[in-house]
Amino acid sequence: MTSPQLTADLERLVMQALETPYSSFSATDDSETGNRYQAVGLGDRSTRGMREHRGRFLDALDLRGRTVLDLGSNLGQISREARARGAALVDGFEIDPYFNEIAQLVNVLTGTTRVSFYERDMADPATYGEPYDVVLAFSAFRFIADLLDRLAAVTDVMVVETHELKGNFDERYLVPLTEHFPAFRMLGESEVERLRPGGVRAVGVFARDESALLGALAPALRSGARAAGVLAAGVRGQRIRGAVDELRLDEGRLRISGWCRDSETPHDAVELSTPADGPGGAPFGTLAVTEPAAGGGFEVECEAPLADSPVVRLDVSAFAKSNPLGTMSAYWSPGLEREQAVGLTLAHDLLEPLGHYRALDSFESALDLDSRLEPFLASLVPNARVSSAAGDGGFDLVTGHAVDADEARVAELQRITRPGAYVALSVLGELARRFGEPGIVRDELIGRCAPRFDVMTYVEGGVAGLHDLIVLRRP
Amino acid sequence: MTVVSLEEVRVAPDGAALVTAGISQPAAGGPVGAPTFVVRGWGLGSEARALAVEIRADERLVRVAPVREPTPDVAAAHADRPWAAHCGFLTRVRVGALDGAGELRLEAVLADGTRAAIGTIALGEAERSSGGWGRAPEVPSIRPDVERLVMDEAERVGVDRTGLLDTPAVPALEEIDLEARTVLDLSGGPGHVARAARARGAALVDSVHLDDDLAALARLLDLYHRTTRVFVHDSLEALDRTYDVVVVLGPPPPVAPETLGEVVVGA
Repeated sequence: MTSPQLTADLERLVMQALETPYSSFSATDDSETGNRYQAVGLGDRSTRGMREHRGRFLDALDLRGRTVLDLGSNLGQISREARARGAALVDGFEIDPYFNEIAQLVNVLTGTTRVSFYERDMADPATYGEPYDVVLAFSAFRFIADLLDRLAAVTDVMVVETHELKGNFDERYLVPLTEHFPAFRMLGESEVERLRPGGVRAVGVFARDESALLGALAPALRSGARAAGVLAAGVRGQRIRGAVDELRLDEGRLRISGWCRDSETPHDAVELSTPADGPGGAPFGTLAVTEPAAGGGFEVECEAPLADSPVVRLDVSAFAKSNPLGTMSAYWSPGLEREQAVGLTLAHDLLEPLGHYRALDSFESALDLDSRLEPFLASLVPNARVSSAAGDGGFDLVTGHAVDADEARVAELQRITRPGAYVALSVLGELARRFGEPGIVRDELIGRCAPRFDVMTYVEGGVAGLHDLIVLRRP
Repeated sequence: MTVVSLEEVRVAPDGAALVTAGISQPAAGGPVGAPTFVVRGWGLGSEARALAVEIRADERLVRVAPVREPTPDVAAAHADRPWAAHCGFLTRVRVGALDGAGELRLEAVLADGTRAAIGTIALGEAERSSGGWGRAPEVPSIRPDVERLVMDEAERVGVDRTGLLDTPAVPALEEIDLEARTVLDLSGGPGHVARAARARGAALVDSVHLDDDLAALARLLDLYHRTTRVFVHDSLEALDRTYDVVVVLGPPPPVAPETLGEVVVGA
């Protein structure tokens, strides 16, 4: 038990260390890491960081009694969370000495044991020698991409969070990882830094074989040979229901109105943001914040100094006492009538999340199960021949909105797709159920799809302000 | 190469519309050594809630920061204001978006649609040394602060501070092969023995200190020395494993040897 005075001194030192301006920028991709990157748990409270808490991914694992290596441990939060979930010993490798000092300081403050931090370069092959049951590589892949053989020599299980996905999941991550760790499950998606809107990362467990994979997963996820994955589920914050009634973008000014609601919590702020580029060529982010009217209605007119683009995405997010409740998206393109704009939004809501995994211009043969999408598929999947009838199949892409994904439909999807194909479906699911409407249970749908497909992601909400999204990949 | 420098940060809030407002980051001085820089502050509306802060480079809107960051200090000073607990803003301005502007102007957007000035950041030009974007050459360290904490804590609990920060040799350990062994250290004190055991190759060292003050001091010294895999526990009950070696140097151990049977393998 530490004295109250020492506890106060330690806490003050932690906050002082976190407030000290300190950042490093990668020379290769302009990405930033700093002493505000991770949110840090301090017992009964947490500091705010640029990244969301990623403990939900660790909840999908069984770390009890395991030795764990955390690559790029930053301020040590993921290491401590692994220990809190029963890991016997956790080592964090972090090249930055200041981050390591803060990480160990937080250990002292929080009374954490069995977690250590080493000043090690994870990009150096000589770093790896000691065996670990599980290696965590959250947002560290670019440093270890050429060292997967070394890592395969020291562990049977790797948990990998990708960097921001740009249609490169298969070639950048899946192919090299499965060469050494052929059994895998996706656990869901995480957000890119909260000051850089628009992108997502994916988290998956990769293992030497199916047995090692099942052993690494939390007991609740082990039933059935392939009945697991995407349990952490989805991009955070798609869980509001709503609609955009009006959307106009004209000469640098934006007008938007509509409504949104959470099923339980009333919101006190509506934020309008966009991943479209603003001055300087970077995503603009927040455009405006307003207070909702009764019933969740909102109406905003604001400046929108965005670069010219044929299609612009606007994100409407609801907040309650500064906490995010959810987000829905709407797409704008010049000259579209409202019904067409709905089709535009549906097509993008379905295909943009899929496009994180595989470049949309790489598809050759697409099946469209919803005629409303057809006018927009030509631009979204420009190199694909788009069909509206399944015929003999052979598709490498299938899209469908408001699909009844029963057993027969899933089997049919398997029949008509080729290996490596992607499927993006929207269904009435969890979000509908939250509002008391009929909808399929998420885990039931995942369980139905998992024997035939890799379930890449499941997003609660995310399509047209009501439907859930599931993205599948044919093994 | 010419880059943007932050010449002056001037806080001049609209006193009628804002109870309090400020800019806590950036500080004035020197070139911006990165593609972006953080702008952080707070703004508490008097009659209407501040929803966002607009940042303009000269007259061009370059960033909008939502007002929702926690502001415990403001909340403590203005407990009667319902918005005081989350009236902070935090965003990142891209240097490339400034396009030669001479000033950044920060204005709060209030819930009633009006705007209220917070302050300005005067921008200038500076020469940046070659070498591209990179970390500032000086890496900060908490070590001096930890050293002060160690000394303060030692004085408080009555431990002699002479040589406390050193890593004294422990001759008794030199006769034992600790390489890759797991060690339980019951020597107590400020943890010198545990750290020495780890330095001699022990795979893991658990030490048990029944004296809370000495346990805290040992943890601080582990922090000071950046020790790995040495873990301080407050009681034997906290141990959840067995050990290859038990080390007891100095005063009698805090436990009877017969109670160690369950935690020791092959001592």
